[in-house]
Amino acid sequence: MSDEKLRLTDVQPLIAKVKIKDGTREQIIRRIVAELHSNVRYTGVEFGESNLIPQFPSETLKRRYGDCKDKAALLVTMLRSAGIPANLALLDTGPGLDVNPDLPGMGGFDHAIVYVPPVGPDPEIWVDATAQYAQVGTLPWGDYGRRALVISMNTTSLVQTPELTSDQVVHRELREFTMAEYGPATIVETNEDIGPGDADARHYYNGDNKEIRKQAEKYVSEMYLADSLTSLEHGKLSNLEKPASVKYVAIGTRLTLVMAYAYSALERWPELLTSSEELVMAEPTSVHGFNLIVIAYRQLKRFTDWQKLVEQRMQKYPDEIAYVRSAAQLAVYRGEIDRSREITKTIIDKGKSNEQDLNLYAWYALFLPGPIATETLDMAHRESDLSKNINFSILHTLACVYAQAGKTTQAREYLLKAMDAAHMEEPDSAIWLGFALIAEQYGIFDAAGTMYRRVEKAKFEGPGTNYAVAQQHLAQLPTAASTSTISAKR
Amino acid sequence: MRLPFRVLTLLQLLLFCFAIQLSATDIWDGPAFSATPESLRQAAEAVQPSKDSEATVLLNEMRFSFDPSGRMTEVRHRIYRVETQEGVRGWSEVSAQWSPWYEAKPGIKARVLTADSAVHQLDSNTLEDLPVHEDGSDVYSDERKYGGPLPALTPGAIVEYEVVLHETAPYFAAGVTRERPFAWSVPVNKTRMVLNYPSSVPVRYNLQLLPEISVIKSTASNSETITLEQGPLPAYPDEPDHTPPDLVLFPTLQFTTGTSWQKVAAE
Repeated sequence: MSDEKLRLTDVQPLIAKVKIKDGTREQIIRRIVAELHSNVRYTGVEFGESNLIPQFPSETLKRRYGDCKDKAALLVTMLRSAGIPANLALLDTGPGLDVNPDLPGMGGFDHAIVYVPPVGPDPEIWVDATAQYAQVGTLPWGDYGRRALVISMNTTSLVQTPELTSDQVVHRELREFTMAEYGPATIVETNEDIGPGDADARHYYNGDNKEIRKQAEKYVSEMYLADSLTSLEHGKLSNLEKPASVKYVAIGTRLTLVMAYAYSALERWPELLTSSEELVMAEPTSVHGFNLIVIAYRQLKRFTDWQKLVEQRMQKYPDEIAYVRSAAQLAVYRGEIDRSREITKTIIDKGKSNEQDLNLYAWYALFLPGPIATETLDMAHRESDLSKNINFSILHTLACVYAQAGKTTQAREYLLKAMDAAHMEEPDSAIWLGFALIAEQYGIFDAAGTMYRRVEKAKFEGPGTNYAVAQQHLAQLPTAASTSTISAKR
Repeated sequence: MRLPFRVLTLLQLLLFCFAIQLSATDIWDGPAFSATPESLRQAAEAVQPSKDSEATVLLNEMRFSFDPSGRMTEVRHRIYRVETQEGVRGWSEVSAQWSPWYEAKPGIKARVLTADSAVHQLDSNTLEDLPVHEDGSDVYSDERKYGGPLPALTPGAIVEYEVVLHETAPYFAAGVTRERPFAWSVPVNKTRMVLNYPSSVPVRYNLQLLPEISVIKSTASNSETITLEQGPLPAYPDEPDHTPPDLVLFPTLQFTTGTSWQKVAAE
């Protein structure tokens, strides 16, 4: 890994082709990275010590291919040759547990990238030399927030690669439905990404054209029930200066889905049911169609029909978790909270749960009599850990179950974290609920009652909402008379 | 003094139970293949299978020893019982991956004890050494996999195997970090991990999610040994997607021969 491998003379003919005199440091790095990608493709030959040691840049250039460390070593050499300090850096790509900083050694790393240290006003930059379609400054998902070993004589410990924040990841999807006076409707879906998703999209659409077209046809058929894909267009994928806007144009004679969306938005539930039933007749396996029927059944309170539908689907498609989730939701609407949790637990036990399943499992414990079980707290913690403690709903659930478990300090801590996560300055209904649960634990029933009453009804109020928890607790709060009896007994 | 018949019988029964318990304990402590088939079967019977598990690991023993140049020899000694037909499919092979540039071809021995008390030895002629292609089609490596199918495997069969991986050159002179899981997808009755190293190759280790593990350290003639023993562990589910970098999900041993990141970075 030593600097001896990074011979500047190896790259001089290549760097001579790049404009390195004009522009900012970042612009120069972009040009050098572009030159690297146009000359060297990603392919690894990891025989013998090549498992650990990169090739000389001259060898990589001769072969015109290299693995992560070969390409990173070449890029470091090119940057240094252009007068930009840079180092190789090793990391263990995510997701999952990172390298233990207290156990130094080789063996835990699986990837090599490039570190450009900060100089004057120029901030540090990390470049993954294998990510051909990533803008300089954008890394692949797995490189973010990981511990890295910078290969330098000055290194004494691991450093952290940048964290990926939500404002750096944007997916814009515009769906336009044009209904003709006569003839088929036109559907146009335009997608744009910023961040690692942009590189993923560029990589995907640069793949096997036939396969991409096949998948696109399948997509518009399933998503829009379109009859055919008219076109699939995108910008020049290798031009990283412009967004790789991807546009699907499809036509469909069936407007059922469009109508179902419209009826749902207009809250016209009987019409939604008719449209979504038509959808499912046309596409019997569509989970999308199933979900629309369920919305209609739920709003029309046709729980028996909902149950029949769920049972049929679960019998026919036992591996589809969407139907199991629907069964759990139905149980809640029927007031069978225990049953709902049992169903959700089966999803968790199968290892197919997502954060939402864990959240619901913990949340519904608030409706059950008796103390909060340790398992519920564990589950709430697990979901909170999974969401990196930045999801409002999950932090709020954790706070509420802590409150109901009598662990008021932790409850308060998580309520404040939830407010931070939502950039909330004043408590909203959900937060008032949390504080009310804490007050109830302290026996300050008047204050608890006041706060429970501040929890507002949701637009589509159903079982399991903050309002429902508040109302349940409000109904069970000791009255003023019984409160004084309790006080007198103390 | 003559003991009444009933008391004597009770004492004999207690002694018998104690002997069975003792032999069950001893079986998991002995060298590989040292237990008689009958005693192995008896000890295995004391470990109840868990519902829905396709196999039960009776013993997961791993020994890591280092020579003064930092070369590691890893001995994997495992005993497991196949519980279901699915287990026959999933637990039907003994193999190990190796890299010729720093490792010797693994040594593999195995035997299968079937329900009819027969012992079926692994035939070395059925072992094959194949190249392993990396998961990405763009990466070519010289890594190899050596192994073969286990004979006479049926539900209820007990498998004992030993795989020896020996480094012919140190993987990385400034220190190597390794990680070995205690957690399996099926229940594990007993786990033993042993680290043995000369004083000149200091090994540091870290245990995760193993609060009740027994740790015994001993020193003899310039070498140190750390023996880690863990009792029954349940089956662990697969790792969920998108877990954060600091979330430890599985009980694990991590160890290193490295002394500082500075030396690793400078190597």
